[in-house]
Amino acid sequence: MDVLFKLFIVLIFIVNIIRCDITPQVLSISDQIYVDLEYAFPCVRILTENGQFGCSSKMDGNSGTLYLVDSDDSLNDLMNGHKNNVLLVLDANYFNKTIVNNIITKKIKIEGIIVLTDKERTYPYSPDVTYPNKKYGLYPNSQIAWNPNGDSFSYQDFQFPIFSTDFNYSYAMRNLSLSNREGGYPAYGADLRSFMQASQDAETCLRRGFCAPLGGKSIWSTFSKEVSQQQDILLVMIPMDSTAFFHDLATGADAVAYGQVVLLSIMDTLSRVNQSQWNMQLIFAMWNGEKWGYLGTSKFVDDLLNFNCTQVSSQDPTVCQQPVNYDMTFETIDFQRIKMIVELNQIGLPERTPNNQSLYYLHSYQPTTVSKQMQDVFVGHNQDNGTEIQYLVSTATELPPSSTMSFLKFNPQIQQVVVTDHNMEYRNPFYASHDDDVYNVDPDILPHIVKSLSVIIDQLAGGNNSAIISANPQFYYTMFSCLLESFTCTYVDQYLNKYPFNPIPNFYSSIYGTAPYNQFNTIETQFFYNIMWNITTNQMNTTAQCKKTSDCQESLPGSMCLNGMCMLSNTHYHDAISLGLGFDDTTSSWFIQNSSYPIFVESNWDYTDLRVYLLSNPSTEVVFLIMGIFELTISIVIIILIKKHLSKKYKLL
Amino acid sequence: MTQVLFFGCLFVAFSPAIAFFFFVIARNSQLILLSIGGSFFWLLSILLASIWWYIIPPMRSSYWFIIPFSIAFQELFRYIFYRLYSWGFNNRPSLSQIQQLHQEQLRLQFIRDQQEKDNNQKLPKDENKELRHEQSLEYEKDNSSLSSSSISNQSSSVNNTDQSSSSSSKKKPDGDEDKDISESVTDINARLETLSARPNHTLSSAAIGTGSGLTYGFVMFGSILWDATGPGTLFSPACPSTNLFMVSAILTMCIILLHICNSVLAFQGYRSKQYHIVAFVLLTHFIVSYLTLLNQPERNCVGSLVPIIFITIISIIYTFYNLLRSDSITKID
Repeated sequence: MDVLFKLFIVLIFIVNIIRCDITPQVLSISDQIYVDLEYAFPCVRILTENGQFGCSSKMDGNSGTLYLVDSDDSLNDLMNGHKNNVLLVLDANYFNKTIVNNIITKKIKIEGIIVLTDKERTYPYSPDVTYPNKKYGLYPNSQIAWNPNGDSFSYQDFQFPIFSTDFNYSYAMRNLSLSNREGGYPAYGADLRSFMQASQDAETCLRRGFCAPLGGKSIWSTFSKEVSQQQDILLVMIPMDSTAFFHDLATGADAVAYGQVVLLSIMDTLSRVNQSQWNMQLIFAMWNGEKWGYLGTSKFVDDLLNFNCTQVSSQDPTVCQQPVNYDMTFETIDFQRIKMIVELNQIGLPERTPNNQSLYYLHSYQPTTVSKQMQDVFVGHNQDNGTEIQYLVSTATELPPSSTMSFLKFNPQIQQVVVTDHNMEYRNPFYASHDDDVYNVDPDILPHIVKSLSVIIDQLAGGNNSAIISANPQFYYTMFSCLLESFTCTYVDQYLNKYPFNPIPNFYSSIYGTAPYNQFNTIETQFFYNIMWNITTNQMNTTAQCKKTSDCQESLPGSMCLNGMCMLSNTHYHDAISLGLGFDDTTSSWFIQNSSYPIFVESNWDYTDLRVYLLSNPSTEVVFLIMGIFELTISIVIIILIKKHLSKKYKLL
Repeated sequence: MTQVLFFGCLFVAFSPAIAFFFFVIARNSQLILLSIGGSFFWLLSILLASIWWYIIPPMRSSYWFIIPFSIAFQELFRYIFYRLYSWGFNNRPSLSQIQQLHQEQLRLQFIRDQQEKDNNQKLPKDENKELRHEQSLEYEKDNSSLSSSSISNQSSSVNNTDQSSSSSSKKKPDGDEDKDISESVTDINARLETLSARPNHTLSSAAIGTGSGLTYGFVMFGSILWDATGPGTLFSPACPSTNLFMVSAILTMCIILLHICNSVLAFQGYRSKQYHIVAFVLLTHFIVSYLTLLNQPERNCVGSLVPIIFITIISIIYTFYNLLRSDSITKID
């Protein structure tokens, strides 16, 4: 008994020691030297069939002394001075093709660029091309410049890394490089590491397995349990993905995010109206990969027309094993039944008239006679009481770059309206730039546009609910803050059981996956899927509580656990990947099977990081080295002399 | 440019110790072994110190608390190693003693030869011839047996000398048994004895100190030195405009030299029972260790560097002073 008691005391002692073991971690030397920036957003390399664009660092990173360019004086100093190992810190205003290429052609050896985001750019600028997706649309030879601010900077190949960072770190970096400029000692340096494994072109890197195709997952959803083959279809859709020079900062507030908020709010509003009057089926869709040659829509249309499953999975009849497709519900949609399309494309920044009305433009494929009826419905609402929205038929002779084009390629008789905030050229001053953020859109118009479009879509579908339609302000304002301000809002907590690493909402489509059976899904897409599932739910088990989706398989097969309830919905993912890519099962690699389709692949990388550190004076180091060598010779001489001297007088061994 | 810093620090920190190692210690195989032993014992002491540091979590960042224990462990292991060393080595003759024995042997041989010569001259001529022939044969036999069965020979000869010297060395554990040994010289193999001879006590303790000092340098400084190869540098928290690697390199050089001096002094103190020398070692060890605390933030690194360099110089001078007065070094008359 006594022994046991002693053992117990010893155990308590040991447990105490282990419990007390919560001391401040001793930082390693390299942790003390280098400060990793938590939010460092790299420019990465993208490859096409003809070459590559984007940035890559050297294998072990590029390092240099910070040099701030925030004024014309500092730029001139750089151009005229002889500086080596310069790491440019560019103010937002100085990051454009003209200035950067000027610096490069001056043969100034720059190691990399850090772009600050703490101050807004003061002039319109887009790093994209003047006609996005021109090659893959309906007008490959068009002369129109939809995006006049574009200088195609994003499509340039750089041999050094370019990074951006968030507001707080930008502020810090600006101060560090200011201290450098004022001759502060020690100077600050930084180390950019974003080595891209892929090089040359898409064909080479796919064969080597150093890259993965761009793409993702589109989402389509409908209120009814089944899509009927007998009823006509009204497709309400938006492109879901945006891009930017720095993919992690691709919020695309005006380009896509505002449209996402409006589309989800319309769905939310219409989910509460009397749908029995509708004589058309409403399908809502968000297309992914649209910035990279309409990947989502062209894949969807192609699947509707040509998909043929040769081997259905024995366990699940909606899964096809050959070719791989995890959800074949789309086969219930008859392409010929798609009669109307309403696309919302860049609707965040409408022009305001003096009497405070916002102008939206309706674009349709020529001849407009096909879509005249739809346009009239839109325009008919201009005279509604107290409306702030005015719909005008666009005077443009061509359809602006839009997802609708993929449908029109196969059936030009579909009535279609592309609602935008621009008549001719984009009103968005920062198209496909990281400056296209929440400050670039007009949040005041949100209640009006949601209500107005809900009424119009209800009317197009055959309903007559205009008197009772009311949007939920809490829903669209929360959604607005989620998708434009910070992706760390209550809805993300509620509908997504993952926490985003990067709070800046970004809708870059990212890669499709390393194989058809190993797909990648961004958390933004998962969020949309879950929230659309929740809105269009057609059956739910309110009695049983659930914690995860597997809890629901017994009570309500096929349902998903959302908000603690099992819900059933007709919401589906659809692959968004280029039709030009095939997958070779024998070599487990992608290959290009038809290069007339868009081919964009993203390089793989191990890690990317931006480290800041202090630099010592190189001349001091050289002096120290000379001192060391001098010390070595002196000590050798002294030892030999002492040995000689002592061995004369003493026996040394 | 940072490779420059790396090599600069490497040279500054290690060049005196490395030069001493290659020009003095590496000349004798036993000194090399002793230095490896010294480094092993220092590692053991620092292992104990780190266990001590680990099991008392609240005091982990209180260096003033850890330092005395770390010093105690190091000095304890120095003493243990001294005991081990004196157990194995004190009774061995040193090289100079062996040389002396050899000369003594040669002298006796010469005397014997002379006597034989005198005897032979008295004998008739033919007998003399035969006898000389036999003698030379015997001599060759003797020689071959000596060189072939070296192990047994060596051990026996060692035993001989041990026994012979033990009586005298018990009275005086120091190295001055030279005079007594010569009396008991009978027959030793000079070459083998030279190989197995111990170096003198001063060099042995210096070798032990070099071993522990270099290990200290590689363990404490080598691990952080690798980070100097990167593009960034760390600045001393105490002197924000001074490169920490450079400060550390100079400190490491001083402390390696102090390790050598302390080892020599401590061994001499223990051997000759002059405990004021041991006290000096303990004192410098304490002072230097606490002076390094001045490198913490909001202190001054000059306050640590200058006294440590000063103490190192004092220690070196004191070591030479003691060494030349000591009995372990044999003066040439």
